[in-house]
Amino acid sequence: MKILLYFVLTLPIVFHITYAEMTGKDIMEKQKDRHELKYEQVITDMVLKNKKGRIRNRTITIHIYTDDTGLSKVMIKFLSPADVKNVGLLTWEHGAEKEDDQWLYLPASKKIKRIASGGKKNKFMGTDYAYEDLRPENLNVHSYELKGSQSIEDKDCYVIKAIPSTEKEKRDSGYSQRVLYIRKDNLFTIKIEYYNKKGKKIKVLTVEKLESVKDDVQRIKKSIMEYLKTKHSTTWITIKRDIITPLDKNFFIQRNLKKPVP
Amino acid sequence: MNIMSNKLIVSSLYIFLNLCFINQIYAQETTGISESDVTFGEKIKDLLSNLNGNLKLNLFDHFHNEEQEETRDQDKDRYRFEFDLKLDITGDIGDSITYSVTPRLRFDNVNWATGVIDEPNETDDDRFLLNIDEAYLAHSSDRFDISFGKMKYEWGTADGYNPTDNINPYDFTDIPTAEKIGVPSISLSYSHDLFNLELVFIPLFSTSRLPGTDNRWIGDLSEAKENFGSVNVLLGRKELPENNIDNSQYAIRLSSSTLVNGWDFSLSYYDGIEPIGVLRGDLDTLPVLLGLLPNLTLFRVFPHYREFGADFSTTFNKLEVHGEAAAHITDGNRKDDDYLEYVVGINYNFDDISLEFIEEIMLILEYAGEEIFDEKTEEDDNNFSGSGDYFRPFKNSVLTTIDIKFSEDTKFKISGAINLEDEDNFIRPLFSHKLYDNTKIEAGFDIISGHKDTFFGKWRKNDRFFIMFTQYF
Repeated sequence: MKILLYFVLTLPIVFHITYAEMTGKDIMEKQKDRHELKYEQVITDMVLKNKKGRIRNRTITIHIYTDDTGLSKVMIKFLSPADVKNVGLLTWEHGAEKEDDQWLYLPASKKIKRIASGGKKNKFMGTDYAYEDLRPENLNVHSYELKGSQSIEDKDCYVIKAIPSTEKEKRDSGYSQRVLYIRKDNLFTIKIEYYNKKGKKIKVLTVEKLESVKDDVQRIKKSIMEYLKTKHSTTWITIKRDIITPLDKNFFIQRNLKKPVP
Repeated sequence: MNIMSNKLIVSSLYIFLNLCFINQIYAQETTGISESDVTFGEKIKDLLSNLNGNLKLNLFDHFHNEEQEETRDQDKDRYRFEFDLKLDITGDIGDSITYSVTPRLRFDNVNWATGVIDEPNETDDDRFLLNIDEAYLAHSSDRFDISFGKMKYEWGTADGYNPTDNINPYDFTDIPTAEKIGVPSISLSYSHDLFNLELVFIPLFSTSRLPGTDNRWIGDLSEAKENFGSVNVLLGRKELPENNIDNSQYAIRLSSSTLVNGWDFSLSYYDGIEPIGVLRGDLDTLPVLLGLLPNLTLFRVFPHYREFGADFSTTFNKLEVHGEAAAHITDGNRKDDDYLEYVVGINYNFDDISLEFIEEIMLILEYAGEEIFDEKTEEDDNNFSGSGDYFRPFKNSVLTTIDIKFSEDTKFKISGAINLEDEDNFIRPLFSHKLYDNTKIEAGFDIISGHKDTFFGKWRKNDRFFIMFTQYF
C-alpha cells in the first residue's frame, strides 16, 4: 500500500519533469508523429474578406502525400470561382538543401509552367496564405525554441518560436519567425503569429474549430488568417476530407495537374 | 454599321448585363442583399452550377495613323465589335471515361464569322458562327491516358513563341489575337517513373486560317507586289492535300521531370503538313498577246515537313530559365528553307517591391532566333515563295512581358516583340481589372511599327485601341 501510494504521488512529478525537459523541437516532433498522415484529400472553402466587408470565395481541393522521409507532394486545384477553375499547383518537396519543384497549370493557356519556388513567400491567389503556409511544417529547416506556456481560449498551450535555420529557408521564407501556440492536451497548433523580415507581426492564424479524423489525429475544420495592417482576412472552412482513399506518389505528376476537376 | 449589326450589339449587351447580374447573386456579395434575393440567387446558382464557360464582348477601334490621314485612306473596318460565347461542358461516363465539349458561338459586325462547322477538320477560310472548339473522350488509368476527338495541344516551355508546338494550326483572322484550331486526333500518354511519352495521331489535315483579301490584317502587300514585277496578281484556290493515310500526321514527345532533379526536358518529333503553307505562283503570259499584263496566280500549297524539337526548363532560386528549339525540314522540290528556330528566356518575379501599391512584378524576357541550314535559293524551284518573308516572324528578336500586379484584381501588362534586324515591332500595353470575381474588363492598345516590307510593318496601319469584357460562369 505504501509503495503504491508513493508511486501515485511521484507520478505527476515524473510526468511534469518529463514534459518540462522537452525542447521546442521535441514538441514539434511529437506533434508530427501524432498528426501526420501518409495521404489525405481535402476540399476547402476560403472566404476572403476585406476591411470594407466585401467577400470573395475560393474553393480548392488539396491532395497531400508524405513519404517515409517526411517529404511531401502537394497538388492544389481550384474548383471556383469560374475564372480560376482548374488552375493547379503541384509541389514536390526536396528537403533542406535542394529547391522544391513547383509547376503551375493555367487552363486558359493549357500550359504547365515550371515556376521558381523561391516565390513561396508570395500570397496564394489573393488569399492571406502564402504558398509556404500551405505546406506541412518542415522540421529540418527551422529551429524551435520553447518560450513557455500560455492559455488560449481556456486551453493550455506551449508557446514555441520557429525560426528559419538554413540559409535557403532564411532567403526563401517571408518570415523572420513564427510563434506557434500548441495545445498541450492534443499537441495541435491552434494559433500562429507571423513576423516579417523586419521582425514586425504581420498576420495571425487562429484555429476556431478542430475535428478528429482518426484516433488522436486532429485537423482544422475552421480557421481564420488575418492580415493585421490591411484588416483583410481569409476564413478556411473544410467542407470534405478523405483520409481513407489511398494516394500514390505517382498521382502527383504533371499529367494529373492538367486534368479538369470533376 | 448596318441595322442588323446594331441589333446584334444591343442583344449582346443585354445578355452580358444579365449574366453580370446573375453572377453578382452567384458570387454572394453580402452588402445590401435581402433574404429573398439569396433564395432566388441560390436557385440560379443551382441552375448554372453545371454550366461553365465564358462570354466575351470585344470592341476594337483601329484609329487612323498619320500615314492614313495623309493619304485619306478609307477605313471601312475601323470599328469591330465581337460577341464570343464559349461553353465548357464536361462530365463522366462510368468510372474512367470523361467527356469534354466546348461549343462556341461568335459573331461580329464585319462578318468574319459565317456558317456552321460541318466537318471534323477545319479548312475553311472563314470562321464559323457556330463551332465546336474541342470535343473529346478521355480514358485514364494509373499510367495511361488515351483521348480521341477534336483537341488542342500545348507543347514547349517558352512563353512568347514555341517552335516545338506544331500540332495545331492557327486562326490568324485577327493577327494579335490569333488562336489555335482544334484538330481531330488520337492522343496516347504513358507515364513512367522516369519519363512521360506522348503520341498524337492526326488523320485529317486542317489549315491555318489566314486573313481574307477584304480583311485589314491581310496587311500592306504593295512591297510584295513590287517584287513580282509587272504582273497582274490573282489569288487561286488552296491546294489541299488529299485526306488519306499518306497525308496523315503524327507527333511524339518524350519528356522527363525526374531524370535530372530540378530540370524538365523533352524531345519531340513532328511529321506532318505545313498548316500555313507556301505560295506557288503560276504565270500565264497569254494576256500579253492582247496587250495586257501577264497573270500571276498564287496558289497556297501545303508541303510535307518534319520537325525535330527539344526544350528544357529549370529554376535557380527565383529565376526560371527555359529554352526551346526545333529543326524544320521541308520535303520535296525545295519548296521552303530548312531552318532551326530557337527561343531562350527567363522568368523572374520581383516581390520585394518598395512601392506599397505594387504587389509583384513578373518579367519574361526571351530571345528568339533562326538559323537557316539549307536555304531555298533562286537555283531551286522558282515557283514557290517559301515561308521566310511572311510567316516566320522571329529571326533575331526579343520578346518580353512585364506584368505589374497592383492587387489580385488589378494588373498592368506590357508585352511585345522587337525584330532587331529590321527594327519592326509589336507592343501591347494592357490594363485589366476584375469588377467582380467572375467579371473582368481589359483595355489596351496594339501598337505596330516598322517599314512596310518588314514582318510587323505590313500591319502598321492597324494600330488600335480595344476594350474587352469577359464574364466567366
